[in-house]
Amino acid sequence: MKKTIFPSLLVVAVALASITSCKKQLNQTPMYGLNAEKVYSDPNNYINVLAKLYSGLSMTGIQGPAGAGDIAGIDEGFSAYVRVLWNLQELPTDEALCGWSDPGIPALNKSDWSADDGWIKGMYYRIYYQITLCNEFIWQSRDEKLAERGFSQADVERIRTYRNEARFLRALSYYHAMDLFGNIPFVDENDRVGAFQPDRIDRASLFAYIEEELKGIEDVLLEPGAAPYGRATKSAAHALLAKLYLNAEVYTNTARYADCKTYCEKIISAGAFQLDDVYQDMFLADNHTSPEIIFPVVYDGLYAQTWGGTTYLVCGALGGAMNAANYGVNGKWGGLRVTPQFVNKFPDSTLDSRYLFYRTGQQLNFSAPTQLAQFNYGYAFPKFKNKTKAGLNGSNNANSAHVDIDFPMFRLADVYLMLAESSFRLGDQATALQYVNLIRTRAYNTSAFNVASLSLDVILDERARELSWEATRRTDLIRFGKFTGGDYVWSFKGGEVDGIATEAFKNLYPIPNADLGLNPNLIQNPGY
Amino acid sequence: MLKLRAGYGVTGQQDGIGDYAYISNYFIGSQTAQYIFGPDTLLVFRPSGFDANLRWETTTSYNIGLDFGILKDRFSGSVDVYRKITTDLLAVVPVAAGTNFTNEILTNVGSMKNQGIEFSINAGLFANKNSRLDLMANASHNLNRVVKLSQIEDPDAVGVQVGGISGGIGNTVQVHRVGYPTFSFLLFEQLYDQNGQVIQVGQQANIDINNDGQITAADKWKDIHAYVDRNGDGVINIKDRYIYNQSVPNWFLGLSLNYQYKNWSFGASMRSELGGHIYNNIHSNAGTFQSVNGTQGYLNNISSLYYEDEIQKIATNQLLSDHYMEKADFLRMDFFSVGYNFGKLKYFGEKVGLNATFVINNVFVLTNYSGLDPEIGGGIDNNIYPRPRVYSLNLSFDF
Repeated sequence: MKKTIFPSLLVVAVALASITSCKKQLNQTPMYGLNAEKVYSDPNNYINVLAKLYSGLSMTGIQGPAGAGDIAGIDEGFSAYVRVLWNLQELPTDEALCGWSDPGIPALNKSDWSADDGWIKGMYYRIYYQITLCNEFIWQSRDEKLAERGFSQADVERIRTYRNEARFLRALSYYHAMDLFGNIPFVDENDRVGAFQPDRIDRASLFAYIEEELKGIEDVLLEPGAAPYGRATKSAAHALLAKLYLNAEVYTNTARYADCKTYCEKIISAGAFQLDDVYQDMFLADNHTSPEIIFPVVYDGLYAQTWGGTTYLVCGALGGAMNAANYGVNGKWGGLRVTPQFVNKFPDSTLDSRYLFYRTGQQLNFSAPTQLAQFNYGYAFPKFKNKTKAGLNGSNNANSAHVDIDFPMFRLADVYLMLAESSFRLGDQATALQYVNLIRTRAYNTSAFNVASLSLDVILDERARELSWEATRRTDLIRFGKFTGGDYVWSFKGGEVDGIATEAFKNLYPIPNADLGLNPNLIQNPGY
Repeated sequence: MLKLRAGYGVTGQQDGIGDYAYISNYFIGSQTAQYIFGPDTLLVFRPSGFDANLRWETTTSYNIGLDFGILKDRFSGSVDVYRKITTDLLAVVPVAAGTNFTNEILTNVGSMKNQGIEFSINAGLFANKNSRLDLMANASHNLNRVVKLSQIEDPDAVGVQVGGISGGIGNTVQVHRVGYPTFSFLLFEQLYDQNGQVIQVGQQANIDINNDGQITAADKWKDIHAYVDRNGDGVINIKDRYIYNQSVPNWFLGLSLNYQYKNWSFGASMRSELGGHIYNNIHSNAGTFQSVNGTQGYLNNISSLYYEDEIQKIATNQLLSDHYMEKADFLRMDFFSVGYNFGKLKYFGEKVGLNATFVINNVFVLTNYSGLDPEIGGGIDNNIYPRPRVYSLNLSFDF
């Protein structure tokens, strides 16, 4: 017995000794891999985290095209920021119909969504994913943290700019949240990751927050023209401010058209952007060379692949008699078309270079509910095309669905039309006419089709023709009071083939029930 | 013979906890998921969701047992009474928007208790020169309750939503709520029309919904018609979802028999679990027109509800209905065998022995459950593969 007792006592003694000796080190950080502390201790890493914040708008995760998604519980390709935003902004309008019966798609076409709808949740969680990541980066790169880490002055200056870009990206997502959902949870960089229930912010207060944030960074972002393509510049912040002011009455009940005009003029006077010569060039594989795009969401057929984004806008719009190779991809997904009401906004049809419909084998009009699911009803609209200006293939050589086309989140023509609309609403017809006609001259490649007088309806229709499928239609229709109600109806609005009036509460999407259950501070939007 | 036992122990459980899941880890994206700034193509660094307070789930268990044996242990058995308290219960839960770098995370949600009683008996029913019959039986009853939820103090709160299902985004059908079993189902109470058909949100109604004096295509069922408004506030929301029942069984029964007669041997074992419930996610997710039509003009797998003329027209709306709940009670014969011992074979000069056994695994299952298999962990059925029934003939030679 003695022989066994002593070794076991020794083991206990050694064990006790080792417990006390490592006590101070119980909170270990890993010896391998990356963690927040390591990432932010090297000034060269900040741009890679910033790249993730930007790619939150384009990619669905960190493994292109899919495999390590950001959002759990949704088909990864469906979770792309631009894809969900586009669906929520375009499918319930006259500009787009989708024939797929994936859950939630017919409901968007028919303005018949619920607070459990997957696409609405997808947008909501994508927005908050983006905001939470921005918050972390902003917190990690605040001045006292940078000083603590002893970076050089040059590094500090550089990282400060990144931080301001993160604030822009956060403001952009909050803008989308305010536009789509209205009254929502609010978190900023002082809310650290953990189990808590964010406060609710009402739409008008959120408006004030976004305005203040953008005004705080508008002078310290990079100069347009001098910044690398893809980064958010002063002009990007100005474009978002202009958009905010243009719709201010919807968000706060107070019109701010004069402010909208001021910010549009700032972009124009900066002189960094010009209208592209050819309309379709802005939606091609090499549209990064367009002089018109103020803020793009960047894609690449080789290095930035996703099933969402512009891939969806190209492949989703192909079907019927079309040949995918002519559009620089290898597949037709057979989903997206347009309503006849939208086609009819082009009275001069083929003379207008924005009339990019594909008509062979396609019926213009709908006569039965089942035709929503049939690709050959409704004109097809291959506006986005993965070919270069020279007619060559993109980097995928037409062997995949992954395209090079960047999504123009803000471009100069939108600024011209915002300036025209706010001038018109302020009583300045001359300026309004000038900018609308600049757009029309480019579209027709001649001034012969310029208009001599304007009305609000003419401006709204010009926006539809110029900015079709660029995720702005729902917001525009709401501003003109035509999104809901019976003033203007289109095929499948309200679920009827010829369209019927819808209820006004649908101007806002519902807060997903899932988050209402988790956060008692939230209140569902009226009507849901 | 009588023996009294008592036990106490603490065990830890860390299943599912990733490496360093309590700090913010960053992962580098692939070459194909980069972002492009001007001329530079950049790899992205992504933070993963984390829980700074994540810890092991700990179970403290106490038990008292009594072993007995009579008639020289021809009849023996035991009775055990136990109580287990589990703290820092681990679960993957959705998180409030804006609070983490993910929308779902593994975290410690609270504590639960399990208490119950177990009986077992072994009996040599008879034994003589040529034959013997042995029986083993056991039964246990378990009571499971959530006793505390760490993040939710409000007694009227929904609880911690768990049990993600297929279909839609982030839909859950279960809840941990204080005073109820873990993974209790939390669902809407479905309403049916006069023909017994499910009332489907968004579908044409046969009553005048919009009060325009006529029944037209504009009259469509709303969720208030499809589900019971349990709190009577005129809207259907999460507060109208009710605890349907528990998912885990509370009775476990087992029986096995061995009979030998001369060179023959027979064996069988059976098992039953009672009190559990299953959410049939195959029915709820694939019992839709979307499944019949496919999204691209080809057919998908659909649920057998199609044959019952009960197919959902809009795929997302009825997922959270109690219509898809079923009892999971079953009795299964796991095993049946017949053997014959041939003894030493003359052909091989009495040097080689042969024992032949014919075995059937998974002989039968008796259940009212409509899915493929009532025995599924978690209570949410997405199983499309039947459990195999295996027939085997074993020949063993000894030299």
